Amino acid sequence: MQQNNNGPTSKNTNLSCTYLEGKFICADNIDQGTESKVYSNDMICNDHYCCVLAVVQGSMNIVVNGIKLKLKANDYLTIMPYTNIEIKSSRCNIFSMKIEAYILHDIYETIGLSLGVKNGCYTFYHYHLTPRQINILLHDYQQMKRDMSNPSWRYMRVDLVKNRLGAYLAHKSTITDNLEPISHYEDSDSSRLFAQFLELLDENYKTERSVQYYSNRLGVQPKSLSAATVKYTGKTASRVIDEYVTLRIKIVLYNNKHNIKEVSDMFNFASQSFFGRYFKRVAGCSPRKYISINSKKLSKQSGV
Amino acid sequence: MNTTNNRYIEDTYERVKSIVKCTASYDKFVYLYDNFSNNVEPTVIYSIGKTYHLQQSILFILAHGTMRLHVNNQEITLNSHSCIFLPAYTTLRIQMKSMETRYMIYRFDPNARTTSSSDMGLYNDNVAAENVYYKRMNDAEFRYIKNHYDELVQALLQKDFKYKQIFVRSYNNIIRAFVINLFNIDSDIKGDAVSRQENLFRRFIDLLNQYASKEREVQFYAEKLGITPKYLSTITNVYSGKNASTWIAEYVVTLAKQLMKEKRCKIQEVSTMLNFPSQSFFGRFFKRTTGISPKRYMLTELK
Repeated sequence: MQQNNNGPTSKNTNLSCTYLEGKFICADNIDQGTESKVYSNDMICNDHYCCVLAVVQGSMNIVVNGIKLKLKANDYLTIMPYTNIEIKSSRCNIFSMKIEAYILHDIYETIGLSLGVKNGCYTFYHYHLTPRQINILLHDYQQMKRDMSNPSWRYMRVDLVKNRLGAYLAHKSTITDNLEPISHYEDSDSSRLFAQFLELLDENYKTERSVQYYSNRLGVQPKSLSAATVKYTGKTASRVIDEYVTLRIKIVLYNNKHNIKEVSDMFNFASQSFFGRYFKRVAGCSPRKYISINSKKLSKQSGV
Repeated sequence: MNTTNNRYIEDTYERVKSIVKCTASYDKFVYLYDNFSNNVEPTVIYSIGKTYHLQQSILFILAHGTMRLHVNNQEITLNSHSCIFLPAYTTLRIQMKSMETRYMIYRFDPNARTTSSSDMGLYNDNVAAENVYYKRMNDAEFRYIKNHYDELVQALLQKDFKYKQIFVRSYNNIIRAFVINLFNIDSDIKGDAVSRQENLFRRFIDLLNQYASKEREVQFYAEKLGITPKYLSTITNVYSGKNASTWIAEYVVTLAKQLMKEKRCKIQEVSTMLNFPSQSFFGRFFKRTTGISPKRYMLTELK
C-alpha cells in the first residue's frame, strides 16, 4: 500500500487511506465496525481538493459552510473546493475520496462529467440515494482503491485511476442527473446574494477581480457582499475572488499547454510582472515555481 | 471468386451478432464474446482452420480447455487461464480446439480513443503486429479480467444507463492498462487521434480485402488512396515494417493457400480465381513469395 503523509489527511486518521501521489486519496472505514468514529481532521477539505463523502451505515453530524447537517445512511455529499466541513459527531461507515481539482478538471474536459453539478467552489451538493445506488458507487470506489494499492501495476497507474474515476462518474452522473440536490441554504437575502455572487464569479473570473465590480453588478454595497461571504465561507469577498481566480490559473498552469505570458493575457492581467506578483501573493509561490513543481509530478505519471 | 471464400472476420461479426451472447451497444467500438453462460459456441467467429487477418486488436482469454493457434506463422498452445493479445493486422488461425473450451474475447476498435491524456497507446502505433503476447495468468489476474468482462457485459445490457458510453470507454482503457501491465509492454503513450498515415494504412488493408483477388499492383492501391506508390510503401513500412508490394504478395498468397487448403481447389482454378494470366505465372509468383512452389505446398500441406 502506498502510504505517505503528503496528502491533506492528518496522521491521526481513523480511516484506511490509499494515496496516489498526494493528488488522489481514497479513505473509508467500511471494513471497521459500525460504531466507527470519523474525526474532523479526516475530512478537512481545504483548498483545491474536491471531496466525496458517502455514508453507507450509521449517521454523522457535520457543519458545512456554517450549515448544520445530519447525514444518515445512503446520504451522498459532494464538497467542492474551498468549502469548509467540520464533523461534530459520528458513528458510521463511510467512504470518501479527495481529488485535486486539476485532475477533475482534466477529466471534465475529456468526458464532460464532473463530481459536482458544475465545477464551482465554496459549495456542496447533497443527495439522498437508494441503498442500491450507494452500493454501485461503493463497488466502483473499492475497485479504484484496490487498483491504486496493487503493487503489480507497473505502468500507467495514474491513467488507470483516471479511467476508474471515469467509470465512477458515469455511474454517479447517471444516478444524480435525475435528482435535485437537497437545498440547505435558508431562503434569505444573504444566501441568495451568496449564490448569485458565485454564479457571477464563475462567469467573470477571467476579466474581473475587484469586489467593487461584483457588488455593483449585484446592486449591493461591497460590505454587505463581504458579510454574505463571511457568513458562509468565513472569508471576505476579495479573498474568495482571489482564491477562485488562483485556482483557475493553477488549473491552466497545471495543464502546461500555455506559457506564463499567455496565461497572464488569458486572465486579463496588465503585465506579466503584475500577474506574477498577484499569483505569488495568493498562492505563496511564483507561477514559474508552481509549474516546475508540477512538471516533476507530471513526469512521474507514467512511471512506477 | 465469390465473397464467401474470403469471408473475413469483419463481415462475419455482423452476421453472428444475434447468435452470440453479447455485443456492444456501441457499434464498432467494443465487442465482447464468450461461451460461458450458454453452450452456444461462438465458433462462427473463428472457424477452425480458417485464416483471419485481424482488423482490430483482440484479447483472447481461455478459461478452460486447450487451443492451438497459428499466429503470424508461429505455433502457440493455450491452456486454461491463458491470455493472448493480438494486435490489429495479426494473421490468426485456430488449428485445434479441445472439447469444452470456455473462452471470452474482447475486441477493441483502434479508432475508439477516449481521453487525450489518459489514453492507452496499445494500438498499431506502438505495438507492432509481428509481436505476439501470450501468457498463462495467475488466479488474481484471471479473476480481474473475468470480473471486468462480466461487469462490462452487465453494463452493456443495462438499459437506463445514461453515460454508458463513458463507462464503456473507461473500462476499455482499464482493460488495456491491464494488458499493458500483464505483458509488460513499455509503451510510449501517444494520445493523438488516429493520424492521417494510420488512417491511410487502415484503408489500404480494407482495399486489399476487397481487391486482392483481382489486383496486385501497388500502383492500383495507391491510386485508389490518392497517393503515390512510394508514399504508400512508406506508410506500410511505418506501421508493419513491410513495404506495400510485400503486403499485397503475402495477402494474395494467403488467399491462394486458403483456396487450396480449405476449398481443395486445383492450382489451375486458384490461378484463374486470383486473376493470374497463366498457371505458370501464378506458380512463379507463389514460389517467389513463399519459397516453395504451389505444387509442393499442396503435397506437403494436404497429404
